[in-house]
Amino acid sequence: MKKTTILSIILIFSLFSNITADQKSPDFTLRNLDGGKFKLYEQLETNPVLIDFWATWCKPCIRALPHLNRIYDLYSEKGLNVYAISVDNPKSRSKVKPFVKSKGYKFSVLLDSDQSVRKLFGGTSIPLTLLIDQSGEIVYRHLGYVAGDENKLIEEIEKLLNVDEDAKPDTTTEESKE
Amino acid sequence: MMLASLNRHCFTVIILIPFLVLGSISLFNPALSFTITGQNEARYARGQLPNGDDYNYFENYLEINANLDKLRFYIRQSYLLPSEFDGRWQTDLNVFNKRYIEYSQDEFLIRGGDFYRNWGRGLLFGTVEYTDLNFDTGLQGVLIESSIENFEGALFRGVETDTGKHIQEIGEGVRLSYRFPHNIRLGAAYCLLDVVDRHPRVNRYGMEIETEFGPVSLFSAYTSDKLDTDPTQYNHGFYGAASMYGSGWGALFDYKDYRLLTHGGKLGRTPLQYPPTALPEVTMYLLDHHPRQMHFGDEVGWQIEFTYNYEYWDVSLNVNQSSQHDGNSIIPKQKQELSPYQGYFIHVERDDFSSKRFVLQGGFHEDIEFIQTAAGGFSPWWFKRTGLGVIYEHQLTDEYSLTSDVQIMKVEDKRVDDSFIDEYLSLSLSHSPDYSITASFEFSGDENESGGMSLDGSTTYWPSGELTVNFLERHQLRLFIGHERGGLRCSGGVCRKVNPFKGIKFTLNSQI
Repeated sequence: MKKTTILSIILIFSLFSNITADQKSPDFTLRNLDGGKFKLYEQLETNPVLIDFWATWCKPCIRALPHLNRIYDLYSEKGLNVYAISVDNPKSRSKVKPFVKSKGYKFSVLLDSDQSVRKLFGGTSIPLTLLIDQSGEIVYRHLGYVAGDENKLIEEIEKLLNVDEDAKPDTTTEESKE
Repeated sequence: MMLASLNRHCFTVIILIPFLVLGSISLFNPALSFTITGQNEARYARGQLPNGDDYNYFENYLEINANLDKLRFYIRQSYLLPSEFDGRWQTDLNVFNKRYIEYSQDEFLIRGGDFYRNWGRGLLFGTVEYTDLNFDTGLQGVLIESSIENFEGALFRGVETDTGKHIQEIGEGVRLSYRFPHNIRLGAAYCLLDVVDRHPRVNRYGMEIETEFGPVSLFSAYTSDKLDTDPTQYNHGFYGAASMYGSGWGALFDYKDYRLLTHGGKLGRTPLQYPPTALPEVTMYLLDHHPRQMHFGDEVGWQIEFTYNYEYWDVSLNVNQSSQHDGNSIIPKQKQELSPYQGYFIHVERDDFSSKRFVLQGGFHEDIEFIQTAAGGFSPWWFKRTGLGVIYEHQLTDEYSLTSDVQIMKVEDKRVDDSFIDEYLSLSLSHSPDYSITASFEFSGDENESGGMSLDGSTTYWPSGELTVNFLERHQLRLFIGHERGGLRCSGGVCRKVNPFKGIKFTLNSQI
């Protein structure tokens, strides 16, 4: 009986989560690597925002970051703000800055050491990618990373930015063109 | 009985009131932004332990955040039938074991309910939760934080009860920090801790300093715990980190010197603290099976990590050493009686970000732990492990990719002057962004291993398959079938022994 009840709750919950297709993001404030403050809804006043939760110890997250950097290169001038939110806790916090700087990543890095912002979006699993439009709606979300996931993300970004077919940037790398 | 039932229902109503109030306010004032976020995670397993006993669990965690302008409300409902970890049952749907209400403005926050925070990288004060390790030191109480220009202040009072209900800690604390010119930040903290039935009251004093000179960042923190009844007896800890970077390279030096107050011996956990371990946590699958168990009550050590990137190449090197103190020495010594640990790890990766990724990994670590013998004495548990691994990933099309991971590790067991080989093979096929299928085989020549299947009488192996499916953008289903090797699993110095298992596991995560 109890199992039936709980399974019913899960099903209702799953259904509910898909009925509310457009979900608004909560506002939050974090500090960046240089101590400056970031407030989500202040950023949304100018541009849509792409955020990616990651950590230095998370291998799929590390795999996804070069693609996030490429997305920054391709779409920041077209009006997309890109942020990588590190959930590194005290044991690995010191690694974040040398890691990001040595790789030459251009997107801004925010610090969420106690995962309070990550938990606002449910759970603690990473990588979690969220694309948020200027009204605050989460228009795309994805948990995890496997090779090729960036293609679907790019598709959603172009849809959000209304990038014309002719104006689409070349998203292939130099090597893959050969 | 009736009264208890009535109380439970009252509690449910009290919990639901803030949601109703927040929702109603937003209806009457649409200008206020009202959002609801959260997730539901169901975990189920049906299988057996090596001794043939059934090992089944079913857990469901429902989390909801409601946000109305500057107000935030959170609840978590846990349903355990029973729990994976200690067989706990919690079948009352009215139990909301985590909740808080928070009000925040740009420079001010006040929260009543559950909270987690780390001060001084967790050395001055730290609370954390790992649901997969059944470890939770979160406090229930009041937290106030303020941040005005270069000044930051925080204070809290709360109660923590461990998941086994054995230890209860009551804590209150205050922290101030100020950012001076030239990017120098100075902080100080004071906490008063009461570990019920374990220690007299503890006064904890701590300070931290952080600064940057161009590409060089420095951080250090010091803490001292003094017992209320005997101020001459004190425990203390120091942590320092220096990092720097240049074009294409980065370097980190971490140092720890801990003689911290612990519950239950040097290996025990520390009250309301979460100090950095100064150890690499994720290296190779086989090496990571055997992490260093931190002696927070007596530990000194360091690690150096260097990374170098050139075009498609990425190289990282980690060297670390830890031991208990040799008298007043501030460096670790590799003497057997000090439970020393040393590790070396190298990772070379080539990724052209289009179709192929190749990783070569190699590592070595040596670990001596003292285990209690049946006769009541201690015997050194001395292992040397040398591992080598290759990962190759090939992107077949825009959607399909294939990943293979092959690892081999030689284990020298110094207790019996013997050695054996462990091997790991896995093959994954992924279809982005929808699903991935993985087949894994793990082999061990260790005759003391329990669980798994016997290959030839001297080799044990654990075959398994895993399927991960993402569907409707917000749901992820994970299915595991097969044998799982047991062992120690650690995170941030928190360790838990995982039972060997055979059967099926199923996890469904849904986000709202």
